[in-house]
Amino acid sequence: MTRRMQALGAAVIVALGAAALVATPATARVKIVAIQLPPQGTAFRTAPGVELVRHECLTCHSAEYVTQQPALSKAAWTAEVAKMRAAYGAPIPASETDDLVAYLVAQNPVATK
Amino acid sequence: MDRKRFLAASAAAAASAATVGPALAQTATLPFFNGDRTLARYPQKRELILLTSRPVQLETPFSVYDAGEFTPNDAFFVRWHLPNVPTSVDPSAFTVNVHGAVTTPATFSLDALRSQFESVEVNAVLECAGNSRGFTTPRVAGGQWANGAMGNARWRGVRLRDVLAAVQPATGAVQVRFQGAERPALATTPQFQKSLDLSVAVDPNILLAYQMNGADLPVLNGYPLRLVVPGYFGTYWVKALNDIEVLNAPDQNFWMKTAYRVPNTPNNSVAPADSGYATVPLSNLTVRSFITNIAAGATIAAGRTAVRGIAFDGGNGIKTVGFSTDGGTTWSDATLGRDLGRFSFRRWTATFDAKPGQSLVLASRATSTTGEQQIERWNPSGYQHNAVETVAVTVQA
Repeated sequence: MTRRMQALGAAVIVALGAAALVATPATARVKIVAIQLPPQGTAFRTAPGVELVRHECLTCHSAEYVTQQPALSKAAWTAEVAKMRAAYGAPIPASETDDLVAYLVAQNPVATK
Repeated sequence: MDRKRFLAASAAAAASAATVGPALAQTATLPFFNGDRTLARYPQKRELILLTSRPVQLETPFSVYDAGEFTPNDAFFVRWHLPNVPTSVDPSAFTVNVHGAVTTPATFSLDALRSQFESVEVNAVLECAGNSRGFTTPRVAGGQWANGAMGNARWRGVRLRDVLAAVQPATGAVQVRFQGAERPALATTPQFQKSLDLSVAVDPNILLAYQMNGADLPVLNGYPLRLVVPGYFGTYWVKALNDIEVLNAPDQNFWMKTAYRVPNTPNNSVAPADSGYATVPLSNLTVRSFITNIAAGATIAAGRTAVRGIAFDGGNGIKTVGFSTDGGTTWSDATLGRDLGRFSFRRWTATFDAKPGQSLVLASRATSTTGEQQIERWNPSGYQHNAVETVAVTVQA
């Protein structure tokens, strides 16, 4: 299903400031705490409309935001698309709504348990 | 009905033909429809349940809560809102800017916060408002958490109250707004900002925290500084906090005016068909309790059996925990563990006789010192879930 996420431990980068370069004791040490996030692990299910869904949705969030949802109605998915546009400012043309919703409804099967 | 709240399969290795390279994918299945999840290792974290990868959201495996009242930093759940999460922090350059409707705006470095203000600690539960959303019936859209979007920690930092006193809120100040370093992908997406009424913000328990459980915050939990609002839902606990603005009018931003609100109805609950009701911003955690040492679906040995768990509420403290072996028909009082403060997890223990061949439905039910109880509720965002949990078990014949 998905690749195992790679463990990437937090790296502590110790950089020496200019003062240290001229042999001043380590008063100018700066410790930067940096991490590297694993790559996104989940893909959208291949189905009609998936390229459109990738184009419009992945700008702001990974596919799990869609793939993990319960079986939502057409009305519920339509409301979600409208929220992305109105509340989060996603530049989704109104003309794409039907195709996006059709994919979203179809990719979450009706709950059977 | 049967709210199995444990991982059904905690680490089933997914079949793979890979002969070299990455280890096999580890998966978990949360006990609701479409609950298959990947287990993932993120920096400074043990293997956790991957909710989403961008922005990163990680759920704590439920077994962690049986290990003690405090949730280890490397097991603590993660929830960001916007895709550009800070991943590189220079603590010597980090500052928090305190401004707005104040007399003397100021910018504090971490060293300045530590040296100018008293350092204090508070034990407090951090719980996502949408914790347990996957158990909402009927289901609702949103992050599909099981019960692992909560944790308890010993937070250390300086009082927000003291920092506000240093900048002197102006006459007419009504709220304080908090923003961290996470950023949206689009300029049109609202920045993540949360506000507290000034009357709440001066509560001496609210901290600008730089440590949890005696160590620096993990980067994914908001290093180097986060807001800690004991008793309030996690949405207010802004991570990588670098901006505090005192407002002289109620905040109108999306995250306060539209998001993270609940119906202004009894118990903030409505029926799915209801509409037209007013809403209010989320505030305090609801009272909850969990059985932590026995998993749903387990087969247990006959005889005297020990059961234990945790309870917490929105800051009044736990008065009693009831324990039932018959799905809540009859209850007996559990024994409460040590009191770590009114915002903390509270352990509880009980014993019961398991007779050979029995099928039992274990349940726990907490009551706060103000009489708040666990209830069934529904609201369209799946917030404040605190139904009584049940754990069905079979006793060996």
